[in-house]
Amino acid sequence: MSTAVESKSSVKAEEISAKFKDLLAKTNKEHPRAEDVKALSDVLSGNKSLELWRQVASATYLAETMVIQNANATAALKECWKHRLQVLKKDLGYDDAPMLEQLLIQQAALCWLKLSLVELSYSGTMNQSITLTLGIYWEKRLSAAQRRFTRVCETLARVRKLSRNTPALQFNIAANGGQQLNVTK
Amino acid sequence: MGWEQRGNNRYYYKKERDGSKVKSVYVGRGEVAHMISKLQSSSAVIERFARTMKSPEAINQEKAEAALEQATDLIQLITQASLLAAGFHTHKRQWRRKRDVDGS
Repeated sequence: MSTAVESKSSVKAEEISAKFKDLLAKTNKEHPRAEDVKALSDVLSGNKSLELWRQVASATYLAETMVIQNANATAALKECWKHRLQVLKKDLGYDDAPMLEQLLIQQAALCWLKLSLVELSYSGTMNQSITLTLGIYWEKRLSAAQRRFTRVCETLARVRKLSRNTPALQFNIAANGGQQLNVTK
Repeated sequence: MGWEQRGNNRYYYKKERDGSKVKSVYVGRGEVAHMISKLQSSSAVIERFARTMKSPEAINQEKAEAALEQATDLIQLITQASLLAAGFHTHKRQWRRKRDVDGS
């Protein structure tokens, strides 16, 4: 993965984050203004929304590529992990899930892989005699990986629970050329 | 971290951040304070050196983790936005749906 692609994707992701944080601040209240909610819906399902979902998907794909590529393992083992991720995603119902759930499933699988890799390195490091600073560094990395994994699993469970009780949560994004995407709203 | 003149004497203080505020914590004066200040300044040099000597593998790992963190944050934001657009809101960190919204 080239550095130019990484930094471009990172800048795009930051732009999207800033835009959403602004909209969320306006709409996350008990009685938000109708125009603010409409603006948020437009971002998610309007004409330009396909580009947004693509950007989010590409940020996830970039993270997956970087996690696997930068891992300290042989090429064969990396291929096995890729295959394991596919199986895990399938087990979590990726194929039949709406767009948002697909992103969450992909992220949950990736966070699980990262957590396993960090745990492996952590136990390898802790078996040796190490400095306090290095110990703290590994503790922090492990805690961050555990926190990420728990967070994404909780979000996936929450989205599934809320969409089960809300049948009208699906809508379509019409792309140029008539292609459509089903998205959980 | 530094020496401060208070009255006729110089005292050694260390700076600690507490949220947005920076506190001055008294360390000492005289010989002992000099020794402590020398040790602390050299440990900063060692840390800087260690940072520059970080292995390429560690740098790549940190880059991958940063990308993963960014993607996770982005998906969390999109999820929140999707739920808000569908008529949900958070109340005491719990997602709730308004009763008058269709499909509830």
